[in-house]
Amino acid sequence: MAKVEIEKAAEAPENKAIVIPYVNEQGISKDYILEFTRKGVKHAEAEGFRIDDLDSMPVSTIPFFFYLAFWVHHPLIKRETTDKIFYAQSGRMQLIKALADMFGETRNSLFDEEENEENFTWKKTNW
Amino acid sequence: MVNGSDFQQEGGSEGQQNGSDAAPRTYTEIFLLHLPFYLSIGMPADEFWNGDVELVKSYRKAYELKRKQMNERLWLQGMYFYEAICDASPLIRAAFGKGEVKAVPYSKEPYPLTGKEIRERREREAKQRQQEIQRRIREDMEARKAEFKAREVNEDAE
Repeated sequence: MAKVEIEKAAEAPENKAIVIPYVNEQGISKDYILEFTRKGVKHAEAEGFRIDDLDSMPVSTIPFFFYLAFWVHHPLIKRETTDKIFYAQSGRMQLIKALADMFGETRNSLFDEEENEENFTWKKTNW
Repeated sequence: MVNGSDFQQEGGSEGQQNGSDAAPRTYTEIFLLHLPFYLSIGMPADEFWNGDVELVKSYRKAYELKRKQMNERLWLQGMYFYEAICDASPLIRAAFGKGEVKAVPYSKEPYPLTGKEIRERREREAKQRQQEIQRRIREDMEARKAEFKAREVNEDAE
């Protein structure tokens, strides 16, 4: 049985990646870095992933999404391994949310929200 | 000139172009739509695809700053042209009129652009004015001295 020593997922400050320490069944400890760059998102979509599927098909999509987050730094890791890591986590939903935010930021960073007044819920007026 | 804000409508209304029900754009399609703009403002492709995703914001801001600087430079160039034409305009008038005219001399130095340059120019001009006044006072005193001596010599001669 794999020994799990996860206190919390730390953030690597430079690229806002998520670091997950994991100890496998042989007792070997390793830090896994999860990140979505635009290349990583492109790869995920090429593998058939769509971000909307996280809401519509969570059961099947979430472990797959978690596996895709490894691709940038651990492209050769097996799905079987990432599933083990995933189910060993506490706070899985928060982790998935953090990864989904990272995924979305690859797109959102391309837009200046403050310049898009259609998004505003208020209007300027003289009074 | 194309800039990043030209793509804002894409982000605000994905999949709804001209009221049609086109399938929403994938993230990959959006990336490929924006990539040429970021390449044009100097972002390496590798940084766009593999770098910190927030870096595009800095590139956009840098692009806006460069545009502002270029605009100010062009305005300044226009001011120099304007001044040069105005200074030379008496010569143009002279070609059609009578009498002797002189062009206004072209500015001896560039316009000061920063607060520091303005202060230094004011100090330099004040110093020059001061030196000019002192020179005139000196010349005046020399002239009076010479006049006084000449008077003394005349009186002695008498």
